[in-house]
Amino acid sequence: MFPYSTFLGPVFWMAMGAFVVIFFMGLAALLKDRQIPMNWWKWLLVVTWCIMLYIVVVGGFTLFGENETRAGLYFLGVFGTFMAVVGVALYRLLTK
Amino acid sequence: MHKPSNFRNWSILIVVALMIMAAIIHGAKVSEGTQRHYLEETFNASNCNFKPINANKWELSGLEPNCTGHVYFGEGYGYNGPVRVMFHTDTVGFIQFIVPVDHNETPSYFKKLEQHGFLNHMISTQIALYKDEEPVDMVSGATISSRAIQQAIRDGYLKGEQLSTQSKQIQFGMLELCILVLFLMGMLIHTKYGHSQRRLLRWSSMVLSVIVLGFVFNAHLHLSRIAAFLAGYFPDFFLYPAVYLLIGGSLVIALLSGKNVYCHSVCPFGSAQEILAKIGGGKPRRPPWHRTWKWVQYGGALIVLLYALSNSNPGLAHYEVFGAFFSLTGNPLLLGITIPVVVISLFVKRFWCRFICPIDGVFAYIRLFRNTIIQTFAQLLK
Repeated sequence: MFPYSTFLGPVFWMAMGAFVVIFFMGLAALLKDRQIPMNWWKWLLVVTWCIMLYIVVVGGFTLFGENETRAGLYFLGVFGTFMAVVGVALYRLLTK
Repeated sequence: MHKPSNFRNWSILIVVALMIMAAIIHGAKVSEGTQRHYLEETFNASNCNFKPINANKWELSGLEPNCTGHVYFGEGYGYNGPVRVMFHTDTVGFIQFIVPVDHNETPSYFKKLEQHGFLNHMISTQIALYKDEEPVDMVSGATISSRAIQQAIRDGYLKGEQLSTQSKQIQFGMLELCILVLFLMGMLIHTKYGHSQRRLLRWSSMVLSVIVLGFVFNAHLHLSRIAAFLAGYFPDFFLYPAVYLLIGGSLVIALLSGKNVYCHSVCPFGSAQEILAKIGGGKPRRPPWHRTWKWVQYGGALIVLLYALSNSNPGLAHYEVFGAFFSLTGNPLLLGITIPVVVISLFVKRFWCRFICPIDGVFAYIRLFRNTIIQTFAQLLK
């Protein structure tokens, strides 16, 4: 099966890695295009936010996978909303 | 001769008051029920004899094994009004079962009691224990409802056995103190302080309100509470002075000064929205249709209030997202609504207050009442 396949498994994770690189390259280009100056701590905050968002999505969908749909919805709803608020605050901080 | 605008105001005030009164009368008829009806529904009426001892106690006798002992009826004060329970004790005074026969609690809170097996925990408890205490632990997240059930048992037992109750002491704690401080700060904000002092006061009161009233106590003014008061369900003043402080403080200040101190600086959800707008840079948006929309907002609140009153169930008027936001309580629909409300509040200052909140309708009615009275007196004195 796919997650344990000796061929498709590594290909999937390589593709995911490539997407992450493309995402951050795209983000850097977007920030440059919008003339938003970035430094090391701003990048650190952005990466932290992305990792937290990733954990929220992973957590929520893991709960769905464990047939805990209600818990998954609550998890995504509460922490997803929290991440949206933090995301808006972060964007305002970057563009200040 | 009154101005047409004053006539219109009086018409609105009187029509709304009459509608509320009609709904209350209808609700009172709906809630009529007798203790015997509940007994016959619960026990096998053909094999059990029910003998009333007093207004709260019945004696059971009959051939069936469960037709022995006594049945008590008592009343406690819940979140949205009285919680009435019927409970059965065996011949030596151990509780056999408890049935909440009538309550107006928000379904999600009452569901929590079921999930925690609260009623089952009280079974086989010696009823005499209820003379001086409430022997079973409250359910976290449904404290008021669980306390109401225990109060109802105690009430039924004490009245049924005609025992004297302990002298009551007002429970004045951190919540009550916080409400008083918030109202005081709210009134000070409206005085002629400097801009920076007012700003400091306002933000201090908002943070205090969000933390203490919101996250710690989850205490707000909501439509179901007002519906409960209108329907005549007054909680025990000694146990819940905070409810009287919130409602009394908000309405008295609004009537006397015309200022809506509650929404401006006491309401924890209003304060939370202001904080969100600060984070997201939200601005107060007033679209061209805002004035027309206000009628929808107020009309919606009135319809829900009338529906709750005419069903004698104030809990039906509970459609605010406060509980969902601060303590994740409420039905899934309310929780679902809370998410877009929070996100929109980042960009539109006080979105919920401006476009949806039913409490705004209540204050609009009070404002209209006050202004119309003043206008009428001014015309009479001319």
